[in-house]
Amino acid sequence: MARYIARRLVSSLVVLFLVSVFTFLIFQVIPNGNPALRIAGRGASPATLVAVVKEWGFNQPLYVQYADMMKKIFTGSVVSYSGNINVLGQLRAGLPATVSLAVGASVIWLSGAIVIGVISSRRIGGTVDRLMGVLASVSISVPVYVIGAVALYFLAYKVSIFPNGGYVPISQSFFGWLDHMILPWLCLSVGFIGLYSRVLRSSIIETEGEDFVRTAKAKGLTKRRILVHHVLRTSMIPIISLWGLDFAGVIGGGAILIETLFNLQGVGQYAAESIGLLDIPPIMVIVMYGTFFVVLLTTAVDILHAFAEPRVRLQA
Amino acid sequence: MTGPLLEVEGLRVGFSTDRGVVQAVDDVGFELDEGELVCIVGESGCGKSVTALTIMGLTRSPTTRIGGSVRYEGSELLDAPESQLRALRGPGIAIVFQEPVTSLNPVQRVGPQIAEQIRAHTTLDKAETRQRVIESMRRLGIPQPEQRWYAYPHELSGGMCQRVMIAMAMSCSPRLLIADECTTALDVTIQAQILLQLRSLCDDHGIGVLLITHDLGVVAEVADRVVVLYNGRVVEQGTVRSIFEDPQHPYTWGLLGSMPRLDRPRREQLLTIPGAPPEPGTAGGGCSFLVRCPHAFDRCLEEPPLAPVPGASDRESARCWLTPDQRRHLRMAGGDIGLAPAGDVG
Repeated sequence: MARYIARRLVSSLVVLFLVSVFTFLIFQVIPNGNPALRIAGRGASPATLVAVVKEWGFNQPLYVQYADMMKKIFTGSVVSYSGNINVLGQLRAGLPATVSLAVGASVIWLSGAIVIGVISSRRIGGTVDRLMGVLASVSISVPVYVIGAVALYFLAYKVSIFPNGGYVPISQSFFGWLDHMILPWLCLSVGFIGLYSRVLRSSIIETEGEDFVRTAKAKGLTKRRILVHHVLRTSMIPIISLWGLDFAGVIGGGAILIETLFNLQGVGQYAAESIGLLDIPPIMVIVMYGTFFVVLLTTAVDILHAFAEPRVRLQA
Repeated sequence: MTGPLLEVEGLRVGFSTDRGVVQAVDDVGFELDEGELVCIVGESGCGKSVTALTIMGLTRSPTTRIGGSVRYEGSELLDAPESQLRALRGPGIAIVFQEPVTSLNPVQRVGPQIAEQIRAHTTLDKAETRQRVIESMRRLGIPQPEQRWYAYPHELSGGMCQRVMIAMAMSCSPRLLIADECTTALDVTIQAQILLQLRSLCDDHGIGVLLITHDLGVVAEVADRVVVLYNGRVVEQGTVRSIFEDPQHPYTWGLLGSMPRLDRPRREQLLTIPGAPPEPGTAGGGCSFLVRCPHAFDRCLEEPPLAPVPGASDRESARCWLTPDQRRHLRMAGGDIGLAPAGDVG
């Protein structure tokens, strides 16, 4: 196990390195990528421009620029091109909102998907199952920003049940926090519930055809016990794998649309703003931070998987 | 006890599919007494396993059509509520499946899997349950049962998994044990041990055993009585002696003729039954063995009834239009199918 984790750590460092190199290079080649123009400001004199280029090191070879940025990132002194603000400080400020969003929404989408998936699988082909199937297709197909915008319009603007976006730290007011988070949680969860419940439903149906479930029936166990102890334990595995990636995506700043729509001031919104400004340092940091979470959660899910499935050997 | 332990009568099981109803079992009937070992034999797809599963109520589904009657200790099981069947599975009727490794839950240790059944049917506490599990594992010759409790199925051999399955089936002391091809996946030494254990369950504990197999060697070794199934129908049944010594149905002759024999000169080639069994549900009217039968004649277009064999005990019957004299004559002419009674072997 220790060897396995060590190996995963090494490979995640390689992944982080490659992702950072590619991200860095992409922003070197896209048009209008010259940051000196934006730092110097509109209508700056050529002399100022040269001074900026020199000061920020844009005239250095690319690998020197890359090494320089990595050094700044890992010493924590990296600042954004626009506004000269410390990027890590900004990221840290956005974390509570993003973590709140990811954890709360995960709980909702996982429990919602399990309930709906199990109910659908109990009534295969029945009215409830078909209705759930249609709803799932709809919820997966409708973009999350449409769901969010519609929810905001009706539930915050037309009828003021929920606040119109914004984030309240949990330390400041628990109910204020809850009040501001419920709508983003639900809107983010809708699509995931649709997808996860369908995956779970087919996974349950597949598991129920297994020989060992027939054995469980032949043992005279109750339907409930067969479902919980024999079927669900196996059929949850694909759901957990999916969740690892999606949770990492949200916590790594991937819920850009929801965060921006509800003005949560989280990591995702910070990423969106930085991309709009073509501000490379924050983008680099957020991409690397997101990658780190994806790698971390994938490893965690693999280890969990090995516990749930004794046949799986972690290859060191 | 007054009646037999298990009575199956006119059992019909059909599965609705896109192409219509597939009749997997079509009029199967037999009886099984306490302490008796009855074998159901037949080729793949003849309805052996479906019969076994239906007795336990395990084929019930919205797409299955089940008819006839299955009585256990005189009470009807086919229309029994699920709760009654559930109470019966384990302490009344237990089953050992064909594939021991996949029939155990791969993600649970084997000890708790056996314990689960005991806990479902008794009020024993954890320690007593554990004791009973370990005892039943030991009785089946599983070495070091205390350690095996913690093993996962993939850590055990196929033979060991089959013993675990039998230990599980026996853990609630059932009155009837159904063994569905339970030795097929095992090598012959393990197979012999397990058959011996099944036989001793009948003799020492008075358990009725329904053994499903396609292996006539197994049948000869342990069976009291034999039911021969073809295309979902019983074509012949009788004591193991009568089936091997005086088989009545041409299909049984074919089965016996295809076995290698040590008491006769070696043939160049074993006999085979020509053709393949009909697809379930495609057979037209008449005897289902008609197209493959070398002795078919015009009357076979009409389906023969399962009729008692004249001059034999009351539980011997066959489904064939040939008269007993014709059968004996054809069998002799066709070679040496069927074992001569012990005294006659030159």
